[in-house]
Amino acid sequence: MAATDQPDLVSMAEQFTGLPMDDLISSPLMAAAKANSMMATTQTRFMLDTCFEADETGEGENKKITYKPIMIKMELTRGVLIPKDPTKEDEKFEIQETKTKFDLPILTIIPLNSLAVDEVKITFDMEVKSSYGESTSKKREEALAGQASWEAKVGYGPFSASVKGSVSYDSKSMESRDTHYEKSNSAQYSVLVHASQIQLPKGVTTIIDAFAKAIDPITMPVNTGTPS
Amino acid sequence: MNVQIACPDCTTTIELNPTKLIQGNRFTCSNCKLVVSLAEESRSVVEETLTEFQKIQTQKARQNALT
Repeated sequence: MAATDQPDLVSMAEQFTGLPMDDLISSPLMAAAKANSMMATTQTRFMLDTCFEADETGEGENKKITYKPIMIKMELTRGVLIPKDPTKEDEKFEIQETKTKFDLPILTIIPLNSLAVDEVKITFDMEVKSSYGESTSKKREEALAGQASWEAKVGYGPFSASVKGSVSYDSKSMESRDTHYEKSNSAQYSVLVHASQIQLPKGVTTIIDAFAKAIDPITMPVNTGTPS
Repeated sequence: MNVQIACPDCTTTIELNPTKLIQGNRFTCSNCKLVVSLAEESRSVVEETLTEFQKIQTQKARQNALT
């Protein structure tokens, strides 16, 4: 069979052109971004409502809100070597557990950066396969056979003769044809979109960092072994 | 989830778990062995804040499931 008589394979390009790739990829991303935006708003509201004290001054257009961070008290404990008798020099020392307190903004101990869409993964796979196969088998077998025999007798007086004869023929012809044709093509289209949570905005980290660095422990009075 | 604060003494990073902090756990600085804990008087404030925070986290989990 001629190659032109065979059906055409599916065009791979045509299969992929109709796909709404924009929607397939952007829709989930947009949903994630929208969710993230909502979370950011909630996070800001949470920060202002629970981690700050709002102080409102003025009215109308002159209204001003000042946010003051809510501070919590943290306790520091450590062993301190204190002379048994502070009035004497070269006195033996003893270890005493001393406690000091310091203020820390509550904002610094809340894991704020966990409030966001962590990861969005969109995996879209499309596979198109097209194949064509043809198999033709033709077999022809012919057999001819013939057989003939004859016998003749001639007799004259005391003489007689007989003649026998036979003839045969055998003919066999065989023809075999086997055609196999196969063609195939395939294409795979794979899209992987990955989005993950970025760090907290620089401004927020700066504020938290400033708060954290501003921790100011109370200094123990000199020459007293008593914890504050 | 843990949070990090700078050690008030040596500025080494100390990892704190807020939930464990309100349960009375103490965290030690790996460098100067300073022990940090939450003072008793602040426990209720932190507990309230964390409860509010967990509500938002639940909301976030629901939104993630819908995404």
